[in-house]
Amino acid sequence: METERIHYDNKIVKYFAYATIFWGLVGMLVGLLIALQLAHPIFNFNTAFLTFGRIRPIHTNAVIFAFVGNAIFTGVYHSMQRLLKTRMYSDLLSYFHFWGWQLIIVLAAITLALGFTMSKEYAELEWPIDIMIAVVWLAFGYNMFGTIAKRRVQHLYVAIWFYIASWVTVTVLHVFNSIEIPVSLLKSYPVYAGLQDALVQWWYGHNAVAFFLTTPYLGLMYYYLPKQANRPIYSYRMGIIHFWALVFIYIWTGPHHLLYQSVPNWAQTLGTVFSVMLIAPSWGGMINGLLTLRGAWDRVREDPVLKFMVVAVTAYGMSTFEGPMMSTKLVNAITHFTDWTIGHVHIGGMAWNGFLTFSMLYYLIPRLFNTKLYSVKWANTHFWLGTLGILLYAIPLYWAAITQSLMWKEFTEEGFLRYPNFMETVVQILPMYYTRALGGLLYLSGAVLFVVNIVKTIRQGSFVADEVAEVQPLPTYPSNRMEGEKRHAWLERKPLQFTFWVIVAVVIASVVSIVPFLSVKSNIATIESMKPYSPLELQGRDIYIREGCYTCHSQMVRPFRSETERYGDYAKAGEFVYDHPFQWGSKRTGPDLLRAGVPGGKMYKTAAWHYNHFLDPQKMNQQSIMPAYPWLITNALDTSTTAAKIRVMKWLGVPYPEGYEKEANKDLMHQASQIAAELQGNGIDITPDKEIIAMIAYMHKLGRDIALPGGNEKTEKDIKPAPDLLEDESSLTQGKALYATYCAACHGPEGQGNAVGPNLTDNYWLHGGTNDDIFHSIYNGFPEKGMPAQNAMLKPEELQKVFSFVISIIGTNPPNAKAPQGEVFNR
Amino acid sequence: MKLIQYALGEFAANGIYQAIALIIFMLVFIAIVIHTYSLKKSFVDQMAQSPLDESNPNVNSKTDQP
Repeated sequence: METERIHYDNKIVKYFAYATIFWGLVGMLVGLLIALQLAHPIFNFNTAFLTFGRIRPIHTNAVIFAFVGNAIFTGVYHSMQRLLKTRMYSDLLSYFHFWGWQLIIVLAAITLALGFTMSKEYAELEWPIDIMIAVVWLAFGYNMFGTIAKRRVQHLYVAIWFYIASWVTVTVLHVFNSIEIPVSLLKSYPVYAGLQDALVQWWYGHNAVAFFLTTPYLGLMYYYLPKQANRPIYSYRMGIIHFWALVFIYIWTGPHHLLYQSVPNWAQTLGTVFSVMLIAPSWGGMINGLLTLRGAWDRVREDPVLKFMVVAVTAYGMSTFEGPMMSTKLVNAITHFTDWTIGHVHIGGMAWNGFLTFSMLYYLIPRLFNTKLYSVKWANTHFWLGTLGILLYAIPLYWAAITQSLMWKEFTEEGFLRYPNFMETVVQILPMYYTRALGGLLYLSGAVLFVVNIVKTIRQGSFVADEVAEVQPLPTYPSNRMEGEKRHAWLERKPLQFTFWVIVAVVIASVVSIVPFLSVKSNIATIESMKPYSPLELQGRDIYIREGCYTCHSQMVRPFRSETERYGDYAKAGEFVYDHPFQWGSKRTGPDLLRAGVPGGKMYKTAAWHYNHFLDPQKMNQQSIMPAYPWLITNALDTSTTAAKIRVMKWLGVPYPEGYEKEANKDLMHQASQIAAELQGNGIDITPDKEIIAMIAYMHKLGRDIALPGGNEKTEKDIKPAPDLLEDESSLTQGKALYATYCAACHGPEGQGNAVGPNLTDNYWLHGGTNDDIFHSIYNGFPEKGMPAQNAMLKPEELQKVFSFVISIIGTNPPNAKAPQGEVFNR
Repeated sequence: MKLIQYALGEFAANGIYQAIALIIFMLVFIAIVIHTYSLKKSFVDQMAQSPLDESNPNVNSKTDQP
């Protein structure tokens, strides 16, 4: 038969490959930085745009959309031309896609560093960038479907199906999760609130994993693994089942991110059931990939490309078993909010996506440059550095997760939390955080070696920009099914019909999962006492979002005794109806803050405490890993946006009074003045116009409306008789250490008092000077005045030691002692 | 076993959504399996060969090894 010569566009493949390598290094480097920040706060450098809360989304976006995204496009543009035996439909669209995507990445990095974020994980970018993503993505889709339309093969290979499904689903996900109302050029609120927002976000978030990190990569696996192994995929039939089962099931599973949370039980169960079912197609895919190497396993020993592929596919299998297990309630109760989730996603990210990307590039670059790989030995070294890095990254995090989760849940025989102070559980896992950073460093080192190897390969080769291929023209076939032609075989040559059924599969699950929640009033029990955020609280909430506080603090107390004892009453869906966006979080590097504003509650802290804590967390608690936020104290609050924010919130259904936007700043300043006055009363020099004031207002709003009159969260003030005084040196030394951790921030390192707390070394006492009085003060605290109840933080024996130490320093007369306060009591 | 009992209990207690979802999925899944295994072997083999069907004999002669 007559053949024709065509030219594949390798230049666009090269561009995307270079971008993959560059952004991969950037993403990994930022990942290493945030790993170090979690191990020690010094790596936040006291700089706003380098703090963990802002950098973490840069890492996730860089790795997912820049590194993996560009890798997908590299593979798609390369494999699609060859599988369809045609050049891409439009060079113009190809390069528009490339440069548009890179521009989006740069804008994402800049805006996230500056704190412009929606705070929805993996969908943080603000509305103008969301629109740009949609435009560029549509251009990519147009180019892809155009290429499919002008193909010179009759049927579409399974890899192309995965590309189609990825494009279709990401389009649906991005559009529906990004419906937001702009407040200004770089600020918007999502139309969804609370529970709705959470369900839509995790429908998106999980399926971003599914249809950005998984299905396109399965397409790459179905193409590059047979290529490198030089044998066909083990079972094409299994590929068909793998594809449809995966596409149909994946989309249902989003609610497994919200188990035990304020989501209807049926939705949680739906997420669990479909997650467990997902094991079958996922493992079908893994087995199909690995069995493709039957008869070629000896080559795996020598061939680094196959080594990377084997580990990638195996990690895919491990991750897709681990994920469903984490989606069962029994396991989720332990793993959620812990580092297990981080370990899990990094097995997927570093091994499945990372290693498959490396293998694809090791395969591609020599071919694009018509040469051999510069050093197979270096590639093997890269493989082992990467593998060791993954293990050193993930295993410590699993260890940390189980350790911390069990510490959170452990009770004493008397029924108290054994580790009531959250900090104890953080300190315990810090060694694992350092080890994780070492794992990341090894992985990054391997990537650097990879880059050097690739650069050397490129230098020794010569680029084939337009690769010649000889192909046969496509014969004309009837549009309808031919005699004896099976339905799926017909579907494989009908891309439009094929795409239609993919959309049907995706949309069915989306509709069932989300539509029942679109009417908040009919589905979520409303709570009459819930009030909209005051203008100052709303501004404070936006600062909380800007600083990425949600990356470390959840606002979701699950109905476990270990959580209600630690944080307060469990969360109800009706509490979040004004939350655009929701702030439930997915990780507790720090404690949950849902009840931080309940007066007298377990999590309540005074304005002065918050001020000092934001200024210098280590001053309040030496072992804290929270970064400092000194700029909140110096930055003036931007009140010019208040009216626009209230207006948008009203439009979204938040019941502010008619015309309130005009009065909002007046109320804002009134509330700010009250908080500033309270701080000034504690000796803090602050004016009402600072951002810290808004942040404190927001902290004190959290959970306040749902607290019953009189304070259902109040710590029980049972009078505890003072324990026996300990006088041995060891006990007093331990008591001193506890004092330094829990008391010194407010009472001075030697008990001399400071701007916050009174002198403990004189004979004057605000709440009585008997041993029982002093122990009572330590035990129950005076939360309304800022003195926390230490029984929530310390164990009975620790309370006895710190009490004994406090008694021991009376009369020591340290320098710079604060003036006497209260009544004299001579011992 | 407890996990399965728990999941089944949840299933029964929480209404019709999961049941609909599961039934739809199972029907589609069974149909796809039956249909897939009724495809002609020659067609399946030909499709499986797609990635290996290189049509560019004139380039990349040096890239047999990684």
